[in-house]
Amino acid sequence: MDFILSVPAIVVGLFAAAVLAYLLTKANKILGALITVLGSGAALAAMLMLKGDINSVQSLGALGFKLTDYGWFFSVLMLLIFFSVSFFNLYWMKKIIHPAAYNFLYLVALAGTVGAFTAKDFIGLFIFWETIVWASMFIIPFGKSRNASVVYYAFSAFGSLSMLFGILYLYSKTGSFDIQYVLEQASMNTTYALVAFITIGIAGLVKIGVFPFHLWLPKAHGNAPDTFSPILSGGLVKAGGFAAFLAVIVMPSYKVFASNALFLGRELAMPVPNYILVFLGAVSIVVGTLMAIKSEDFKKLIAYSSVANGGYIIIGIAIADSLSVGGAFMHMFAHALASAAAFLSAAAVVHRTGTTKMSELGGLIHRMPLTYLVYLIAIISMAGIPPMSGFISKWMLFQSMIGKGMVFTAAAAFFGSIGSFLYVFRPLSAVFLGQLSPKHESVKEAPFLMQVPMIGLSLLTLLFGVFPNIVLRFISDILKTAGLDGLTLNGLVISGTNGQLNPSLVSLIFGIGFFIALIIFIIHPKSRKVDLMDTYTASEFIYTPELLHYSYAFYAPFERLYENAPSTEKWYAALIKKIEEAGQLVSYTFFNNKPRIIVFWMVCAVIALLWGGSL
Amino acid sequence: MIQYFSIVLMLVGIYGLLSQRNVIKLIAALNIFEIGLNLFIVSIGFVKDGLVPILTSNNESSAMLYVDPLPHALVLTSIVIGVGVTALALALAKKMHDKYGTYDMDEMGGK
Amino acid sequence: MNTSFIILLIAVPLGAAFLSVLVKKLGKYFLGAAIGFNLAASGILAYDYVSPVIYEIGGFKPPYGISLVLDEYSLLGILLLNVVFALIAIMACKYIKKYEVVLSVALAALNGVILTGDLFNLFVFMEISAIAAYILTTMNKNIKYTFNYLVLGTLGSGLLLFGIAVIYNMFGSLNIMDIQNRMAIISYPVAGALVLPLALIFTGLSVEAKLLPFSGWARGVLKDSNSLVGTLIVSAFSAAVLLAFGRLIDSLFVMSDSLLIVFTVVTVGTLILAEIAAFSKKNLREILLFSSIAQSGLVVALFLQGLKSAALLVLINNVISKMILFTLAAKIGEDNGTDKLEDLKGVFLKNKVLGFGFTAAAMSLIGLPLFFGFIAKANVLVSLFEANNIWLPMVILIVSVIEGAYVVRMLTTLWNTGEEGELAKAEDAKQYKLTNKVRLTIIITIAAIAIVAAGILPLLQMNDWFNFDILSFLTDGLGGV
Repeated sequence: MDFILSVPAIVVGLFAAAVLAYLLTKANKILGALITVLGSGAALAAMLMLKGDINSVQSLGALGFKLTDYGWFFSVLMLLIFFSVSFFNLYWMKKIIHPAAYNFLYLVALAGTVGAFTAKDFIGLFIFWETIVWASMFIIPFGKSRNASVVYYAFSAFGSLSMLFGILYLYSKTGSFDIQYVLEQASMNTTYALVAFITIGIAGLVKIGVFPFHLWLPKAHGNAPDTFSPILSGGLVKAGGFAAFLAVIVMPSYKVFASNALFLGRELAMPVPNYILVFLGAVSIVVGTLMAIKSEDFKKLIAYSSVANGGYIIIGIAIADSLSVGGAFMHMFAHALASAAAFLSAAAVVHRTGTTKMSELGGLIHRMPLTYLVYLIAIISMAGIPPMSGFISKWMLFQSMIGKGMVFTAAAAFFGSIGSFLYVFRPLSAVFLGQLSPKHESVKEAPFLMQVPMIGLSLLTLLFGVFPNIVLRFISDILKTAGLDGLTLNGLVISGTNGQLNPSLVSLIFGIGFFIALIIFIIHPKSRKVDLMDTYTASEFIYTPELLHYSYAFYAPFERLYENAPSTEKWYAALIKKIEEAGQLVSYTFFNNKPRIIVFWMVCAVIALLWGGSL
Repeated sequence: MIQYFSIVLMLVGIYGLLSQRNVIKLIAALNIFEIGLNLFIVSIGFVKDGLVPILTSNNESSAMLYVDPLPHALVLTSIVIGVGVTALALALAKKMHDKYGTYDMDEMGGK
Repeated sequence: MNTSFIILLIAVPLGAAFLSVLVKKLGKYFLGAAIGFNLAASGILAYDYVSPVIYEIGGFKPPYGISLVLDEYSLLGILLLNVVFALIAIMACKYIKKYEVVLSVALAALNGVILTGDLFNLFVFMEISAIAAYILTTMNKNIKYTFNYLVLGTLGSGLLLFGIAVIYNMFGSLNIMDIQNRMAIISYPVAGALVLPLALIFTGLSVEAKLLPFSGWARGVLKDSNSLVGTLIVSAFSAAVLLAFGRLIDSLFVMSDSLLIVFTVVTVGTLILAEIAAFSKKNLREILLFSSIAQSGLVVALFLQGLKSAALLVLINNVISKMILFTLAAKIGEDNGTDKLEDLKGVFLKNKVLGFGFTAAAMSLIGLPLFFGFIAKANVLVSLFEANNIWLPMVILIVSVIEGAYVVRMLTTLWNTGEEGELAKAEDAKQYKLTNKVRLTIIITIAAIAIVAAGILPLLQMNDWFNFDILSFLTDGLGGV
């Protein structure tokens, strides 16, 4: 085992590539972007080659690296997303205010992700985790909002500092940072286990964007540069799943809590702390779905759908049986591919039209059929319809929930699934279907290098929907090393608690159905196309195409239902306002130009010191 | 006894700082505070029935009971610093008067 | 080792001040020579350092004479102070004119504050440095703030002197070590009797160390200050005062539990309230000055917990990063007539190198990994946890979310253009002025590289970087070179 092909080498190499990309971008922007493609591609290839070296331990100075099987899974997933998206960087260099910094930070964030998933010690995990945070915190404001970055940082910092608290607390108790050892020790003591569960769990919840920490997703994903939204949504939020997996399964806190009567609810199928996670997951499915239905903006919509999907992942991990955790892993995989593809198709639309406002778009299927197809496959997967990979994961999760008799959670999850039809259909119809806006008559299909990753991600989504066992076998191994039972996989069949699924067969049936529909479509007489502006109202011609757009105020009646619902956005806004007011109060009270007031406070303070000290 | 008196003086100075808005009066209050403080420091060197801490032909032995000379030395320094600060404060007061035409801090405006 | 360098650190700048009074024209050369000498002397002292040295002024044996103490602690202090002072003077040399005397005196006094081993001497040096600071702040052209500072500063040092006098009355000595020894011997319940002097000393030092509620002067004085005055006060002055504070806490503060609690409430309260105040501010210098107040609170709180090494790391991080941040903030403010964040969108677009320096310093300030601030923060938290303290880390972490939010707001605004909801575009950048850039760029680049190097190297080189004793590192790592 040499250093050239090892995890530290990948991390160091990515950092070096980041510096190289920075310097090259100064000379030639495209060349710099090319480094991000090559760098992430090479790292992906290297990581795939390292599959045989799982459980190897290396060190880089005082930082230790250990390639666990789940770490490898997450790393490959991230590298895949980063690699796919990096093709888009080539076209985005002119649109970004600091192209050199963008390329640099892109690769630093990637190095951070690989480092975080392969760190042997908690402190290394934290260092790389924070590296991701600050790298992306600089990229986000290159997009549409500076404030989004502040929101992103504040939430991320809350999560990661909570994790830091837990790490250091456990360090002071166990004297070690080694993840495996610390978690083993923690699992022997209920208090330590609870601290680890809460602190690391919060880090995971924040990162994955589960209610009540979901606010940063629409802010950051919706406003980040178009090439970085797929990274955030497809890639980085999945780090939250990693943290939650550490806190719940690797530790394993579910066993600790199950053996302590204090945490056992009478009517619950699981210990109370796990149930709280399930509950939060269910709430975020509902909230994410409702908010996504409401969104006017294409990217915000997908961001809210990520909130809902984060909910599924958290539920899967928190239920903590092999089917649910396997489902959660599969869902992370499926959702990463799908949401990256969806955001990429959005980016392709932006690249050609320059907007993400749905009411300004429409009819792009005639101009960008391939982008349409990519988006279609992505949303089918997100909605959990066969034959896409999203279906497999949702099936596993539902199986597990029903198996545990968790009716309400399952109801929320089903609501999310049905709701997702509502919201994913909207951009589909608004952006791609309907009539083409006259502004976009001359729009062309996305350029070839953009098509490559989009097609690649779609094919993977389809592949793992038809033959999910390729991934599930590996996930099953992960579950076994984490102390759960493996999944029951026979050839092409997956066994659940109350049924079996043969995805290939399902896909075959779907394929036949699709084929029949296609034939009907072909032999059916063609309908006449009506132009968008081919209309008039009350003998007035209308010149603003947006108002004629049929997705304008699409779900208006539905939105009215929850117009006055309590909103976490408002709560956070009020909190920030209160903090600012308190700050002004401090500033006004203690920092004015009136010596007598300050002297008064000083006298008060001295009296307080004397009084308090002599107690 | 003198210690209580000096502490009262210090409190008077602080009261001045608390109640006055006039720059000159503030400087006066600071001075009163400093005088109280200096008196206090002098007073801690006092030893009952102590002699002047100078070796003379009458008091040749260092075993005799002397008052503590150190506080007096300290007070000298403290007084000098006080004078310096007062001079600076008065200079500032003049500058402020030139600029605002008043000695009243509240009338100078600003936050 | 030539111990006379210890006294020369104070004597040479003082001599330069006298000479500058006599020959006004040559003032800046005298000042430059004094700064250069102090740099060299502190370097030599560090190089030759073996074990603590007590320099007896005039040959009087302690506790009778005034003594200067050079141990690891004050060695670190003079190194930090003289380097920072020199860098600030070089970066802001256009303001030095007419203030050479004051700056020389300030340099002497600040070195004295760090080195002295005598309580009354400490008061004298504190007062001299404070007077120098009053005079320096008259540069801001807003005399009423200076007057406010003077009143509060004088009252504060008066209380400090009062406390020292009470200590002298109790123990009959002014030598810090001697008092420490006597405290150990005297059998009556010292802690209770010490409440009055300790509270007074604490108050007195707090005024200069900018703890709430004693620091009402800070905002007025600093919010319009230029890159010389403001930077000196937030970094050099605050470093010296905090180091003196730390030394006294370390040696004299024999506290009962309740007194420790009250002190901790004041310092931690400072940390929380000042960070909240900084969060609510929209001007660069105001944000930074409140952040500086908060960091002082944290440093003193750590000293009170007995975590000297952690406190020193925070102090160093704060001093270096504030030096960069405040210099640039003041510079931007002076050259463009405003330091309001929203008027400065994209100011670093044309000044990338300065921007990198600013960014590195800001990220170090909030303690992000790969920057020195993270090493400091990790050390603080680890040592607090090892002392079985859970609630202080919680406070620190929650507060650092707020701190991070305003620092990130600052960074994103200064790097990017565009209104909310619009794409950041390089073309939108206004033309900002930044004069006198060469010297600034060189120094800030070096300082920023130092911050990054000090953030990465320990991770790679030291297995126990989270449990890092800066004082022994100074002697083993640097002194032993």
